[in-house]
Amino acid sequence: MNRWRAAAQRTRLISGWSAALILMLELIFFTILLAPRNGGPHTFANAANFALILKYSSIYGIGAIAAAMIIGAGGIDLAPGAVIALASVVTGHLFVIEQWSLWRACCAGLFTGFASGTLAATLVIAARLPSFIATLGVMGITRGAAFLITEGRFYDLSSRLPAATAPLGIALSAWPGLVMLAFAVIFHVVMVHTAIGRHILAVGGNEQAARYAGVRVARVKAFVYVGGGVLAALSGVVIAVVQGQGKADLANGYELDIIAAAVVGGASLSGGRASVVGAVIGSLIFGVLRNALTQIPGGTFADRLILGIAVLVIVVMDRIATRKPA
Amino acid sequence: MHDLCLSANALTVSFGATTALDDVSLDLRRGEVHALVGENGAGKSTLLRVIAGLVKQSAGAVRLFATRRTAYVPQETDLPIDRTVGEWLFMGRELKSRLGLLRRRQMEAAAERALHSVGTPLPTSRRIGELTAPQRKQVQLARAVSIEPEVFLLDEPTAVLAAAETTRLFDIIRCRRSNGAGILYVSHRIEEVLAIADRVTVLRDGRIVSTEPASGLDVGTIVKRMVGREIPPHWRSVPALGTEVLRLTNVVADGVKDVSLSLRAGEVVGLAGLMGSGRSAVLELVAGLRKVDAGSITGAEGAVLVPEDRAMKGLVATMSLRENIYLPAPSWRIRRSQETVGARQWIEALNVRACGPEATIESLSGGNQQKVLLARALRTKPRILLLDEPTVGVDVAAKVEIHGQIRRLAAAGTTILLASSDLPELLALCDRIVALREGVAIATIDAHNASEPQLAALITGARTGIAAHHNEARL
Repeated sequence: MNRWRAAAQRTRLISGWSAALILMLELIFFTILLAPRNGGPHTFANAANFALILKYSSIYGIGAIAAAMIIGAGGIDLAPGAVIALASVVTGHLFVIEQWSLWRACCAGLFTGFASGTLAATLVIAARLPSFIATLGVMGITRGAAFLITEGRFYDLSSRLPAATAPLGIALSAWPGLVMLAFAVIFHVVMVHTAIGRHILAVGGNEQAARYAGVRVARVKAFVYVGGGVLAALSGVVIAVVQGQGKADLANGYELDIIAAAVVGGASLSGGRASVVGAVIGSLIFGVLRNALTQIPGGTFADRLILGIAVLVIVVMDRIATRKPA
Repeated sequence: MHDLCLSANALTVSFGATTALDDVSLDLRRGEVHALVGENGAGKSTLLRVIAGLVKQSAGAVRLFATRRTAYVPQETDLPIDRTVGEWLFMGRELKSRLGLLRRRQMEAAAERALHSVGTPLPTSRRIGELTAPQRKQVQLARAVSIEPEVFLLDEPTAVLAAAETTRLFDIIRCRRSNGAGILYVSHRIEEVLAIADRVTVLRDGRIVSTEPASGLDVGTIVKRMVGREIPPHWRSVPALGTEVLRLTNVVADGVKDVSLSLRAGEVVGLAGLMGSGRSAVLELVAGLRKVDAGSITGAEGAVLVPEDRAMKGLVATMSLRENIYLPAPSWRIRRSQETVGARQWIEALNVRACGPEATIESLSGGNQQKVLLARALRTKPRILLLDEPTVGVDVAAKVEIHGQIRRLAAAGTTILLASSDLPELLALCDRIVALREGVAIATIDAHNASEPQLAALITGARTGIAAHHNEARL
């Protein structure tokens, strides 16, 4: 047991590399499992399918970047699923009904994330609510606002979008993945190479000590919650444009998948530890799992079950690896 | 012979490397009040906790003779704030019907009687969170008295009580004594001890100095035994005093009632006081971590605090030694290689025993953790350094090193405000010492020719006749 623990410690699950290792093993596993028997084209390991996985993972992945920062700062965000829906609805409404230009509608969608993030930050900082309660409230408000705007409607953005829309000359379907990767790089740099990143993890590790050391705790919290809102809204805007739809029941329950991705990627729910790259890899792990299970007969029915087990196994392994020697 | 109700034999208690009690033997007779006195950290509370069964001794044994009813009243009044007074009085020993349902009315009535017996007719339905500290203490006492204890353990019961309440408590204690109970009474108020106790045991550094009848003792003798150290000559003569750099004028804030003090450049000024006297509060006010309600603080810019509680207020355990030194980060961009070089220099300069800049905090001993905090403060080259209990939980070798560092800093012209419960530490390091009692700066004494008994008497409020008065109120 001890030797096993020591070995687990050496692999440093927390560093984010372990998540990368799990992703690699997962890809190899499904490549072998789903290998075509009769020499036909590989239905799993091909470029088009990987692009698909990247596209669908990014809906969670963009939110997971924010979740990693919020969890690293010792908080939790239950709002991203609802913010994704509201941002898609606002973008869709302004673009389809109000006939705004695409860029302006997208900016308005992002602003809803800024507003809901600001509300969460205010509740956490000024009203001193626990983040769980504050973001639970924001989740209800944003989801409710989305339903109020749609009144049961569903915005079909694709009807107004020319068939060959390719912003900046990049195909629409490639955008979600690129956005996720770009923001992963940006916020990885923020977390590892800037003062705000260090202060986020210091607040999560020991808020009182951070305050005594002179860290402006309120500013750090404002950054992560507002950032969290904007990133979730970004995910919503991307869905609205790429999938061509805005609806109020979008991304229902995604907040838990987003949190799970961040935790699998090395974020500690007790705060002080988090990896943005790990969170993105975490969402890819789930993306690959979802994609592969659809190719296994009956697999789609097992997908929630297997995802649940995967979260527990990965987090328990992480616990063992980081546990203090007795 | 005497009829014993409790005897403790050769008790030793160690917490990690520190020994809180060392070979302590003590007995408690029926119908006596046995007082325990000693300085902060002498082991009084630990001894009570061992007897109450809350702390396990590493060696020795406690024997209770034919007594089942033992009541322990801790110093702290942190009761469950959401429960009512009545509920708390019966918590853990609720009266139940045969069906296991609570007999609420019966408990209410009994609770009322218990409160009445200690002279605190509070409504039993009052939430504990709404009570004042003295009221909570009386509720604690009511709960203890209601079981009619044969062994009664009281830890600093009068610390939060006013004079009238103290008198009533003494009546209760005398009543229990005449009923044949043995009372073990911990207090730092020596006059009170002499008024109530039959025998007095003096503890120092976890050992028993003496146990004898109170009738043959006076305050001066007890204080001398509590302190009992040779005082080394002061490390420097009175320094050349610079200009005033920090001034507090009649400051009032949470935990501080009236504090005025003045620091000159290059001076080391100590803050002496008991727990809750406002030592830490004054430092946190200067550091800008607490709000000033009245009065003024001038010159506090450039003051850096090394807080008292390393684990809670000091270090971030999830970060490395290097990251803890560079917190907050000195610039918006982290320059890791520069930090590594800097951290190595600090490790060397302060003689931190660590495996390197990336060492985890938990791999460091208390003394080395304290040095990391010191490095964090010194990195910014503070004009004024505020040190709160810099050597608590630190081993002797590290303590000597930290003291050396404080002297070097002072000699190099850093102004230092040092709060400590360790009186010899204050006397050894400071030029002047401000005595605080219950949030009020009551006196300022010259540390170069002050003595520990004198200081102890000042902060506890014991009137020993030792001439502290001519040094008082220099401000």
